[in-house]
Amino acid sequence: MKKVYFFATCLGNLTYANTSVSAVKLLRKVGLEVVYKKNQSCCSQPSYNSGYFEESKKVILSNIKLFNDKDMDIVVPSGSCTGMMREDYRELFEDTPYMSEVEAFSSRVYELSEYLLKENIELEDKGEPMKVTWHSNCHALRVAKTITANKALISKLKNVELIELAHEQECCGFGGTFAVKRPRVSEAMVASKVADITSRGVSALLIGDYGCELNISGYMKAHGFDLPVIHLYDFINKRIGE
Amino acid sequence: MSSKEEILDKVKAALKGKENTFTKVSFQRPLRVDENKSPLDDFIQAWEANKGKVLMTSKEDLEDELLKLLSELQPKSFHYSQDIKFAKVQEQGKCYDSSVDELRNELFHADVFMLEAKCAVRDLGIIGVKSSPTSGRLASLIANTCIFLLKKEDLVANMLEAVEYMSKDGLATNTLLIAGPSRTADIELQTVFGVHGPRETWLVIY
Amino acid sequence: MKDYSHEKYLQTLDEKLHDKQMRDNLHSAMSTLRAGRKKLVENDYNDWEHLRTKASQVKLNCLGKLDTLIEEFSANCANNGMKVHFAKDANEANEIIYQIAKDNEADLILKGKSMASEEIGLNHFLKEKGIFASETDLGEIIIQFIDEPPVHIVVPAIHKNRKQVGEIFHKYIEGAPLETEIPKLNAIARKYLRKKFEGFKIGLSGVNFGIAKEGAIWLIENEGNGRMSTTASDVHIAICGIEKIVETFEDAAILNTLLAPSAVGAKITAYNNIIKGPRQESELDGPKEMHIILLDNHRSTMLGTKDFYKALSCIRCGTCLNHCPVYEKVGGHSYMATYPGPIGEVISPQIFGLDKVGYIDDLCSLCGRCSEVCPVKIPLAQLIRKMRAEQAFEGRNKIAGDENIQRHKGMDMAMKGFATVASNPTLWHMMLWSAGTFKGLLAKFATKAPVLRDWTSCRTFPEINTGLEAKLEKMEGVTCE
Repeated sequence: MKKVYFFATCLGNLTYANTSVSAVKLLRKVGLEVVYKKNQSCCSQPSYNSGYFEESKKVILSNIKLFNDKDMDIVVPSGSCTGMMREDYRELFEDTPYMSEVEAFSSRVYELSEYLLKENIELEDKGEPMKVTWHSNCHALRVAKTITANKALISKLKNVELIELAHEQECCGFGGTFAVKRPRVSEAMVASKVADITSRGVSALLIGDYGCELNISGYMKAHGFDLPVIHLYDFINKRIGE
Repeated sequence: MSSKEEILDKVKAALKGKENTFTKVSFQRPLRVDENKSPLDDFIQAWEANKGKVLMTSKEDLEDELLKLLSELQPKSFHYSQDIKFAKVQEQGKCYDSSVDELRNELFHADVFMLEAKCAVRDLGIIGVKSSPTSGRLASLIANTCIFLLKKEDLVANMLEAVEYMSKDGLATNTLLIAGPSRTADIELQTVFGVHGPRETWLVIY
Repeated sequence: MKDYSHEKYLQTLDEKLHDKQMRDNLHSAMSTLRAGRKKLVENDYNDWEHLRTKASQVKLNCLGKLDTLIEEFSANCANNGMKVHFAKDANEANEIIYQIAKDNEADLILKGKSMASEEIGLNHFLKEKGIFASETDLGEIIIQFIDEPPVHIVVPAIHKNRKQVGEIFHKYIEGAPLETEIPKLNAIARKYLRKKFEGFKIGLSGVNFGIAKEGAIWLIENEGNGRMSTTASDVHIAICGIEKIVETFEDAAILNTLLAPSAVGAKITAYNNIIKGPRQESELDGPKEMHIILLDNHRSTMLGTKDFYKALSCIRCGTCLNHCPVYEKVGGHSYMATYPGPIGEVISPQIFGLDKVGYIDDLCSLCGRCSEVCPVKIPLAQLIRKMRAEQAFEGRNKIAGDENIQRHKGMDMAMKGFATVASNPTLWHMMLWSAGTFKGLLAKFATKAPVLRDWTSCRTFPEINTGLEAKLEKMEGVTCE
């Protein structure tokens, strides 16, 4: 049986352990065996995006050595972390002695939706017809380019209609440390995003990245918006009756 | 050390050790053109979309058409560049044949100016004009209304071809590509026409 | 003296975030510019992405041989009758311009739009010497009257609505009636400037493209004020940043093709003005004297950097601003220096000092949209991140003012802490366990603890949900090791 590594992400361990389980369930559904390296931590975007490259390299090297079986792919339920691990790692370690090690890691990284599509996942939608909208994380959209895969999975759910946001291209204002460094600017951005989301006439927002999820759902809850914010992989499990 | 030497030294030092990544790049047709239209029709459509006006005629009818246009425009004053040779047209106004130093005040109150365009650019809907001893730079700038004369054969495909076409016998002191009337959208992004350059631009094609 | 203090920055930021008028105007304007560009790019161009790649390569080609091009350009310009000057820095450029004004006994210079002239602080410099540098671009006149810096590179006064502009004109232009309709406002400006154009001596412009092979400059505009300034004057002064020099007309055409579409969603500007030199013998008009000032002002230093030289590709189209979700919320003034938005975050520190304006790099969520739309493919988001690294003392480039920057102790500690915990499994697991155990307590302090209180100022406290390992261990086909 084919085995894959699962990288849960830091938030997938801190605030979204249940969603991590949903993600693993889907890997099981396509018949994969999953290996979870207990000592994994974070892809290092928080320090990387703040310009602390040396600190990031320390964290990255301690993580990637865990995933040492070169025949096993690394699956990540986050386009943002995938982008970091697949693209930014290569740039960060360019011209360093660690390049080949990083290359060997980065070349095996996949976002979960990409992987499930590769494994020809079949999804039988047992839920009632509903309309949803989708938020695209910026790094997933522009760097990892995994959003099409996310949407392709949604389209496999026959009773789910995806209504696009009016301004999908606009950042929700999370930006990692940005949200707490420039909180008022971040707030203005998430307010715009939520105005867009709540204007779509849908019964749920689907989302594929934990940072954006914390940001948008946190803002919505604090401001009395009761539209459910559901992670893609929780949603899929629910729809197929898991 | 002069500033020139200092700057050049710094630039040279900056480039030292940088990998040479020179790769030749060519200008190729960037804009989609309507292959179903004749080049001239396509150009006219684009020129009019830029808010330019057009008058189609023939070489034989040109002088008459120009007189007709002038009588419709009823200019408060009429100037023409030295390239305009039609006697009857010349009778309507004044030639721009002495220096701006003498004519400045008059030029700044010019109402209608006539001159030659040197080419038309199909994909952008713009025309090319160049300065010369017989065609001053101000001719296409100073008046409220500008009338450009253009030969049908002087149609080129794109921006680069226009510049090359107009400079094949040497680059003029001032070469211009003009997309119709002057405009601005600086207030609330609302476009208004006729700022400092002409408000109305007529292209008479023959 | 310009106030670059951190306090002024925070004050400005706060002010602008609460300026509903500016935010509404900016949102409306930027949306329009984005939509215009998108429509044009999708419908009218053959493979826009390929065009970007070509434009990017043209710029890199030219930057890669900038020394040769500078020499070729200056020699050819001189041959064509231009007086060629070199300015190492802003002050030298200002002094050269001042000298030209003195030599011509002029106390007025009419300016076409030039970002380089804003960069060197020309207007202020000349004012102190009793010379009035009058703007002639409609947006620039508006802000010159009220003594404000531009809010946007291309549409400097977009934050003012017609009513406000009407009031400004009525106040500052002698004899101007109070109007609110835009065509009427345009008419007021045209009449006002026409008088000035009729009787002025010196005109100043920037340069969009300097063509080395021809010894000519290529300028673009829509209003005609640039042409007036460079054609109806006795003396024309052109300020040209050295990075604006390209080799051929072909290079310029490749770049120019993308400029107007990126900037304003139009295929081309009303005027493309290619100038080879002053009035020749037997010509009727044009300036009798033409000067060109080749400006360095930190560009050569930028060129020598490992990473930031790519920002010299900038053709000043402003599309990064138009697409920046942060810029739209805070406006150009919040960036504290001449160049706002994503491009400003990369070049302002290099021109005005990392120690002076480095803090503007936090006006970015790294969404990457700027990199996506830049017509010359400057990797802006990446460069902003790298500029942050410079400020974290982890950069590898020479940036103006970097000898004066202070360590951000709080950030250093937080990041070192993060790195320590995230590379040490024991500490990491302890962190997870603590969060899970004390989540109730954490939530209580959420509104008071640093960082957390910023998060919870407009969001609920995140729900802690840990114990992943335990959950996975229960699952079939899953190994925890």
